[in-house]
Amino acid sequence: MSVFIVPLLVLGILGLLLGIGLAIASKKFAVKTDPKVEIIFGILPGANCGACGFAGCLGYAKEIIEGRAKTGLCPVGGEDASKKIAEVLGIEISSRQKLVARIHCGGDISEKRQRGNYNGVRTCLSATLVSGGTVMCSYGCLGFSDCVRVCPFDAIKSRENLPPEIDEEKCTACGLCVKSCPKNLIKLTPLDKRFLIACSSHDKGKITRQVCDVGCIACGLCIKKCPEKACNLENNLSKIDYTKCKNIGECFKACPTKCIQWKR
Amino acid sequence: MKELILLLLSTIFVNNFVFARFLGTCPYMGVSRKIADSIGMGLAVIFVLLMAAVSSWFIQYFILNPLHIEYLQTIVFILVIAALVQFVEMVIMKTSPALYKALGIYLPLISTNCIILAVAILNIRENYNLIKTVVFTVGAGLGFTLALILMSSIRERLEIADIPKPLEGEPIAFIIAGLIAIAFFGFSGMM
Repeated sequence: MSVFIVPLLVLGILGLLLGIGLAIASKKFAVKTDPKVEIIFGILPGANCGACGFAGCLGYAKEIIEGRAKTGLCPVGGEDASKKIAEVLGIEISSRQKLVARIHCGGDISEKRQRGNYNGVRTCLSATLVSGGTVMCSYGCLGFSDCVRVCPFDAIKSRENLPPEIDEEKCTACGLCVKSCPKNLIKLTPLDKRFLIACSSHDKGKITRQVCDVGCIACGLCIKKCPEKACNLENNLSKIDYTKCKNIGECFKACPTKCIQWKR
Repeated sequence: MKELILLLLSTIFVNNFVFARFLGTCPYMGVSRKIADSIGMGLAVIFVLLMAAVSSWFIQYFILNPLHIEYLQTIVFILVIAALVQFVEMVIMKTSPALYKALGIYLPLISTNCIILAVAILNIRENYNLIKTVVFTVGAGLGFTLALILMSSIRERLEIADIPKPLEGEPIAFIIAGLIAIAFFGFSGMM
């Protein structure tokens, strides 16, 4: 019998002693953490997306307490979370415009716009690596929905023959789709700005015309029509300066190729 | 005395735990990016090694051997090492926040470092007395620290070097680890 009992006793007693020792030690050497960390962690949405640049929501909460991070870095919690955190800390808020991801391409990607038969892996990334993309426009959306798969909030939907659509209510501007797009078509833009140049082609107008019906041909009409001078041409592509844009919409009416989209 | 010095040198160079015995290679690859980090990790390992080896030596000769349950060695040592690391972490956290910040993240890592268990068991297997145990343990820790510092100083330079794309990061580190190990084999006939 003692063959069983002795080892059992030794292990049991040893485990018990170590356990009690650790329990006493944890009480005796307990370090008080700042209770505000817990409160701020509760305010943060808990998405742990890392868009603030820190390791998860708890990491961000700690950085805020240590004074190394600003309050408005969480795009998911947005203004609300920023305000609440500022209240906890008793400081002024560093407010942040609510952003939303938008795809800067509205091109047709149906069969007639394909450059050839692509039979490789059905992701935008691999298609880009093989031949710079499968569609005729070398800047355009390929439609293999890398952004749809990467979105943790289910905000992006694939569409037939068109670039995916982003549900702006669900979008939290975490920026994962921005990184996932090999063509760099997705950019975070202010939610309250309604107009969007849905084209990223830097080709000359003539070439853009040949490969796409709704591409920016750099005609400059939007620049002439905009009373706020918010549009400007950069390398054969019109760009809206959202710090100046006042949602007037003259550019939208003027655009001959209808490449400017109106978002509600 | 001469014997002890020989033992120390041979554990650092000839039987280096990383390059000759291939133990503890996980933290060796993981924490060898910056010299400062590797020194912190090395010191923490030496500290935990010493405590673990000495306490396991006492447990072996005053509990396991008299009761003739030597076969429980592995499980008891693991238990003691895990509890010890936890305890050390708590004490450091309380007494010295600065040291905790420097070592903190490495301490839990150390409890799963196989060098610790290996040293504790080897001490018993080689029939070392307490003094030899301490010397062997310090040698093992110094050898590990040496390996980390060597590796991290090379990797810091690699950061700015022009490495072929497929080899960047971990692959080139593995190649270098292999090369250093080969170099360390040069010591093997010496003692």
